[in-house]
Amino acid sequence: MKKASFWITLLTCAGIAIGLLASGSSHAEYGDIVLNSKSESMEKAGVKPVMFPHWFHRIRFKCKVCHEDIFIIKKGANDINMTKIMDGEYCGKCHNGLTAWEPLYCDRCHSYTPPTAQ
Amino acid sequence: MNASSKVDFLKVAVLFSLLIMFGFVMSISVDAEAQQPAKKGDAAAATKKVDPTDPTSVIYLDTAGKAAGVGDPNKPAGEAYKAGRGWHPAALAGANLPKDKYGLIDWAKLVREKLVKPRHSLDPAEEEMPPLPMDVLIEAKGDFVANVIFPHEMHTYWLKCEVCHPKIFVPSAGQNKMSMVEIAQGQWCGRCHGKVAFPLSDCKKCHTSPKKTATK
Amino acid sequence: MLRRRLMVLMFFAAPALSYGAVDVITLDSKIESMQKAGVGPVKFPHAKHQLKLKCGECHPKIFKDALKANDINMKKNMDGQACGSANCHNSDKTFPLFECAKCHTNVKAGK
Repeated sequence: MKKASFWITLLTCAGIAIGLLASGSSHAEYGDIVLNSKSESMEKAGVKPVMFPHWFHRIRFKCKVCHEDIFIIKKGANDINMTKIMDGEYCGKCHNGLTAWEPLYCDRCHSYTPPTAQ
Repeated sequence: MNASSKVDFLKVAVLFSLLIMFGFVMSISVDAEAQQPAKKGDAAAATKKVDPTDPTSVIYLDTAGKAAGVGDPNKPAGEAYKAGRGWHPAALAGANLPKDKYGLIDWAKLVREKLVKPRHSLDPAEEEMPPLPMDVLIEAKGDFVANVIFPHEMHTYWLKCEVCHPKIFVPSAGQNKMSMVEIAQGQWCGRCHGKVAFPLSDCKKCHTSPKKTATK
Repeated sequence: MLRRRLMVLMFFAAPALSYGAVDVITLDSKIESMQKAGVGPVKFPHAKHQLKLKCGECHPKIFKDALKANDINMKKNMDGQACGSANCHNSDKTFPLFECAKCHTNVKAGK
């Protein structure tokens, strides 16, 4: 009897390990950029940091559309904020309701959840 | 341990195993669901409607990985948006793009097989400079590693000349003193490769032309 | 008291020292080519590999078990031989081949 319970516990542990491994697989594509240099302001506004999906834009636009006329290819070199976006700069060049959807759907972009918080 | 507590313990253990099995099966079925729309779309690929296999089409998925809306960029993201959810990266799985051996999108294949038609400018009237069909031989420094043949064509398909020239690369063959060490540190090719272009671990994607004098 | 501490220290340090001294193999037969490429000899940590792998996973199929018996170069590694064998430094199991400084010493730092 004792032996049986031992084996069951062992199997349970193995099951937990396998289950965790299987559910832990997620898709992260290279070029996904987290934008949170304005994290304080974002927090005040009650939104998450931005997760910019490069690949998603790349299937619609060649790199040359944005680089480097709109965005400089360097981390920290683009000072983006919501006012500028609404004025038609940076993301707002397209996200204006004409080329792409307007900047009204906050959580489409402000969607980043750090992996530890999940 | 008396008999009844043993039985209790057994029950708990069995329950736990079942729970894990359930979780495991669920995670598999979610994966399967994410891939299902892609399969269905194969048949309807000819009709130009909402075609989930078309990478420019389906893109909005809810947190469970189900397609929640189609990629009409002028409309809100269907169910996912109504439910207050954001855009979900699991869309990548449903987009059915060709992948390389690392599971990353194979952009070169996408271009060669004309699977996507990315725009070259925000102004539809603007004329695009056609890709430049010029290969440049870059000799590997060591005696053994194959040389690199740099394809301007694929790079100019995506990028304008000014992005690389003359700031990153002097536009003159042999004048750029690059090294693999520096590239791995994020200079030269490493500015993009490993970040938004295929990773440096894929040695033979660049080092393609074997050295004739590979001695010893 | 001091002696006892020393003894304890020796007890832990001795095996570690002997491992390190014996089991790091310097690979420098291709030093000319390495210098052209701006890197120095490879210090191969055999002991570290022993902790993770069984001898039979590398010997004798991938590497002959004698010093200087293996003709290794970066091309072979890239082609999936030697260090770059399928389950080794050409897979997601460990760091990839382009991280020069993880194997080569005296790597010239970039600008």
